[in-house]
Amino acid sequence: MMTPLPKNDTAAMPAMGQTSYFTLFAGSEVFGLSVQHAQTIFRIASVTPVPQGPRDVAGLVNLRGRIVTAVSLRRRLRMPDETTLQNALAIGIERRGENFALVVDEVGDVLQLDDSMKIPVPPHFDPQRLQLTTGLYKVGKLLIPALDVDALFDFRGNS
Amino acid sequence: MTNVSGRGVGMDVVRSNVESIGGSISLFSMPGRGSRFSLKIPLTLAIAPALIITLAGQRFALPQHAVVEAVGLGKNSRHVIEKVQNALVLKLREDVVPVADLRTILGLGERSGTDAGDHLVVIMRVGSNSFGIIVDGVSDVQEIVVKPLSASLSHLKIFSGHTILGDGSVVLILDPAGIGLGIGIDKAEKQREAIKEGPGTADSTRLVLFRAGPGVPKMLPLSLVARIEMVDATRIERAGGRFVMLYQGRLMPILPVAPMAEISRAAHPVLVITAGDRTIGLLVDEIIDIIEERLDIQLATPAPETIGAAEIRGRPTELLDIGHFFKAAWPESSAEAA
Repeated sequence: MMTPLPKNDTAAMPAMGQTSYFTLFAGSEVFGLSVQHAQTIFRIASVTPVPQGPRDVAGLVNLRGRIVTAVSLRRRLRMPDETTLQNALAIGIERRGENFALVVDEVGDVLQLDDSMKIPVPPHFDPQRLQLTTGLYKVGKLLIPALDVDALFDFRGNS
Repeated sequence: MTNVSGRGVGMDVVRSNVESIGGSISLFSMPGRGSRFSLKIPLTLAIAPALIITLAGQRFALPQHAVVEAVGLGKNSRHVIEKVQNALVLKLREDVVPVADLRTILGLGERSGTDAGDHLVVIMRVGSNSFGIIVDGVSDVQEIVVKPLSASLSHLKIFSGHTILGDGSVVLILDPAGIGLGIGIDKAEKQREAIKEGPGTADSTRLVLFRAGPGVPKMLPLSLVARIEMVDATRIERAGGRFVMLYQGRLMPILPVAPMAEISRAAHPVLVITAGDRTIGLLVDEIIDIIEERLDIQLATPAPETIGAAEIRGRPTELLDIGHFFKAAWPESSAEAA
């Protein structure tokens, strides 16, 4: 299910104090991911599960001859699992020399978000979500959580 | 086109990449005829033959170097898996092999029913330990390119890496040593030694038989020998009136068992013997065999380098005195060397 996003008429290049964000969807929620982290968006042909691996790792994926670790954003956010990973949409991200694929439901527009629109995450959020977001952006009526890429792919204590 | 196009920047990138994996590239070119590129890439570095096994609908690669054999289970098989004190064992010819279900190890759910069905047990050997894993089947044998696991998965000891098969699918490579540890085969060594030390087998010793100089063969208990190396004569140097060689980054005295003035042959076997932090190499002419025999010294010998002589396989054989050689290598501290 898509949430309508406010129209953004600014130029594609971010101005000073602005960051470009992808909007992504998991469940019925919208999230922001800084575009500078995203290398490619692709559809997953097949996933090889990793027995005994971290819970949020969906498996290994062949991305043009390179083996990347697929991480489910839904599982990461403690949402109900995807029904199937076959043909799921994923964002290729490199972090600490490792290649990851972040599995999402849908990818939306790129938004230029001004730093002045950013507020800290309210402390009563679920601790897991608190850990994975750097802040909230007020965009029109919406509040878009910005994902913390480093925390997203850190699986310490996730077995 | 840019101002660097056609100047060989790409060729340089290819060369540095090939060299970074230990390979080499050469180019042969003739005007008007064409060019031939030869790429040499080390095979042993990354490519290994592996069994592709199936398990709960998934495929895994099992490196063949550890695989001894695959034994079929099921109604028409002579082999059965038995449950002894809650652990699975396979009676295979004279041996009893510990067995574990790979499904259980990987947490892929229990096999339904007690009947093993038409499954396979893959017998593996890691070091001196054998064990078996139950798999659903073997689908293929392939040469695989081993790629190491990424950092977030490298804590999994059961897998040594992953690879992409010919059909483009990703499979995980099982690590036989890691599986063995999961089963607990590292404990087997101790148990076996405990049995060995028991009555009946206590007086037989593993011995290295070798020839050194004229006269009867010589021997040493294998337990004293750290390694047997074939050493090129060029690696042995004379220093201070005796022979030495560089061994594992340190100078090791080389002592010929039969005294000799020069190293005459191109290569000699050297028995590497370690006591405490000291290592010596005993230079011999030829290794005859390694045997398991009852060691019964029947005759004391006058020569200082031997303890005595015993009958081995119907021939008199002299047992060397290691202490004598350590004393010869370090005369100043003869007391410790015993």
